[in-house]
Amino acid sequence: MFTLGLLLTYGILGNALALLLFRALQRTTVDRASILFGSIGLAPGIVSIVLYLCFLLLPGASHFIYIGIVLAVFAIAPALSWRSFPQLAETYRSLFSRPCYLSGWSTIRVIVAIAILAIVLFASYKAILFPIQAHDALKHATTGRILYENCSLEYVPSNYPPGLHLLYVWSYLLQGGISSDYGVRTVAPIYLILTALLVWRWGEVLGKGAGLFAVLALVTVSVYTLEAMYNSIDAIRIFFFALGIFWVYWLTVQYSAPLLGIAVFTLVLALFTHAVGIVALPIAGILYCLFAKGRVIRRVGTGIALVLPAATIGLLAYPYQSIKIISNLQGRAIWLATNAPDLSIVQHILTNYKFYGILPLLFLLSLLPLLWKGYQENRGFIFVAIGAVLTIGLIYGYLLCFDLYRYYMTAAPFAALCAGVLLSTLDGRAESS
Amino acid sequence: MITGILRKLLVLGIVGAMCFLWASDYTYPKTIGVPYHGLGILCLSDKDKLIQTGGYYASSVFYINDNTPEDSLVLVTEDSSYFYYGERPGIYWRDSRMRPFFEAKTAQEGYEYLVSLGIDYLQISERARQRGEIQESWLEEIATDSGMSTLVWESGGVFAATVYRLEKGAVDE
Repeated sequence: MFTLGLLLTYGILGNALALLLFRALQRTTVDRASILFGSIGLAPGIVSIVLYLCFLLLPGASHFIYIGIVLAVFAIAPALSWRSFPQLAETYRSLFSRPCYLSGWSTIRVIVAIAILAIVLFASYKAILFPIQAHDALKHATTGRILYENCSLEYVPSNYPPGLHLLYVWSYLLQGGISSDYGVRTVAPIYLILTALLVWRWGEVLGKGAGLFAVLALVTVSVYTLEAMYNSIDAIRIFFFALGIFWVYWLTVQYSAPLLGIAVFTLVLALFTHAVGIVALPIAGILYCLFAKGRVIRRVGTGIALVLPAATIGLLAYPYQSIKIISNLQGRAIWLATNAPDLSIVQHILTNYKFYGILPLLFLLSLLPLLWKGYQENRGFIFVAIGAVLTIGLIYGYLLCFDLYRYYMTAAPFAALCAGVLLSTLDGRAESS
Repeated sequence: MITGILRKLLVLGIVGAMCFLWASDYTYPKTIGVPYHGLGILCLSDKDKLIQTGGYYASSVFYINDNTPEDSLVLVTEDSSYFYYGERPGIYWRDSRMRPFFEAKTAQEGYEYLVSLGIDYLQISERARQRGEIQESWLEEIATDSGMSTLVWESGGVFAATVYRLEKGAVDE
C-alpha cells in the first residue's frame, strides 16, 4: 500500500496535473521539465487543500469518500487536457533518452553528480528507513494522526497551517490506518529531491551547466539535508517557496494569465504549508515589479494581482493562524522601527559553516562578477540574487533575532543558483582555456 | 594553459570544500543521539532502531508501554515522542490541568494534586530538569521522596530520562 500510495500521489496525480499545466502553459516558454517537477510537487499540495475543504464541509465522513473526492478532482485534469499527453511523453523522453548523462562531461561534473547522488541517497535512506525521532517532526506527525483519526479541522494546530499535516492524513488514508508511517517519512526526502530537480532546471535556464553546481550548492547546506533526514517541515515549505518565486520568474519573462494563476496558487500553497510562506508574497510582488516588462502601472497592477489573492485566500483560509502572523508582524515591525539593525546576523550567516556550509560565501563571491558588463545582462541571475537577498532580509524582519537559524535556509535555493552560475562559469572557462 | 588548470583546481577545491563541510557537519546528528550504525540496524524493527539510536526519549516511552498497566496515566515532560510512540494516556507538564501543581505551596500539596489527577507514572527528562519552571516546582522532591514515588527506570546519554511510579499511599487523610 505504501508503494501504491507513493505511485498514486507523486506519480499519477503529479502527472495528471502536469498534463493540465502543459496545456495551460503551452503558449509560454516555461521549461517543460520544470513544469513536470513543479506539478509532481504541486499535486500533494492540492490534495491537502481538497482534504481541508472535505474536513470543513464533510467532517467525520467515510475515508473512501475523501479518497474518492480527491481522485475525482484530479480526474478533471486529464479529462481537460488529454491532448497534452504527447508533450508529457516527449518531456520524459528528453529526460531519459540520453544513454548516459555523464558522457561528454568534465571530470569535475562527474564528481559533482556523484556527490549529489550520494548526499540525496543518504538523506533519503535516513529519512525513510529510520523512524521519526526529531521533536518537531514528531509533533507534526502526531497532529497528522489526530486529524486522520478525527477527520475534522477541530484539531488543526493554532501555530501551524495544516498543509503538511493534511498530506500526512492523505498517506494514512491510502494506507488505511496508522499502523505504519512510511508514507509520512517519504514526504521530506521527496520534496528534497523535487527542490533539487527544480533548482537543476532553473540553473540550466540561468547558465549552461549551472544547474548541476547549483544542486550541489543546495544539498551541501547541511542544515537543509539534515532537516530532510529528520522528516522536518522545511523541505516542503522551501519547495513551495522556491516554486512560487520560480513561476514569478517566468511571469516576468513572458506574461500569461494561466501562469499568473499558477503563481498565485503556488504562493497560496507556500502559505498553506508554513507561516514563513508569507515572506514569499512581498518578494514575489517586488521581483515582479522590478523585472517585468511594460509600463510601471501595469507592472504594479499585475504585482498586486499576484500577491493579493494569495494573501487573501491564504490568510482567510485559516483565521487563527492569520491573527498570529499579523500580530507577529506588527510586533516585529515596531521592533525594527525602534531598534538599530543587528548586523551580527551577517556574520552569523557567513561564518556558521556548520549550518550553511560555504554557500553564503559562494553567494557573495558570485555577486562580484556583476561588476562586469556581461553579467549585468543575465537578468535571470540578477533575479535570483535579489530574491536571495530579499528572502534573508525579510526573514530577518520576520524572526527579529536569529534563534531559528534554519529559517534562513529558505534563501538557499536562490543563493545556490547564484553559486551554480559562478561555479559553472569558472568550470566552463577552465574547459575553454 | 596554466590559468585553465588553476581554474579547474579552484572549482575542484570549492566542490571538495562543500562536500567536506557537509560530511564533517554530520557531527550534528550525533549531538541529537544518532551515531553511525552498520547496515545491520536496517533489519531491526522501528522500536529497536529507536532504542539502538537512543532516539528522542523513546526508550523511556517504550519502557512505559511495555511495563505499565494499560490504563496508567503518565505525567510527561517530553510530549513529542510520548504522544507519537506512547500507548498510555499522558498529561504534558505544560497542560493547563497542571497549573495547580505548579502553584502548590508544599511538596505534599503538589503530590496530592498529582494523585487526585490520577497520575500513575512520572516521565522526567534531564532536559526538563534544567527548566526553570520544573526546578521551581516540587516535581524533583516528589520524584526523590521514596514515600511519594519509586524510581522504576532510568537511562543516560543525550536523551537521559527517568521514570517513577507515583506511590498512592502517602496522601494525608
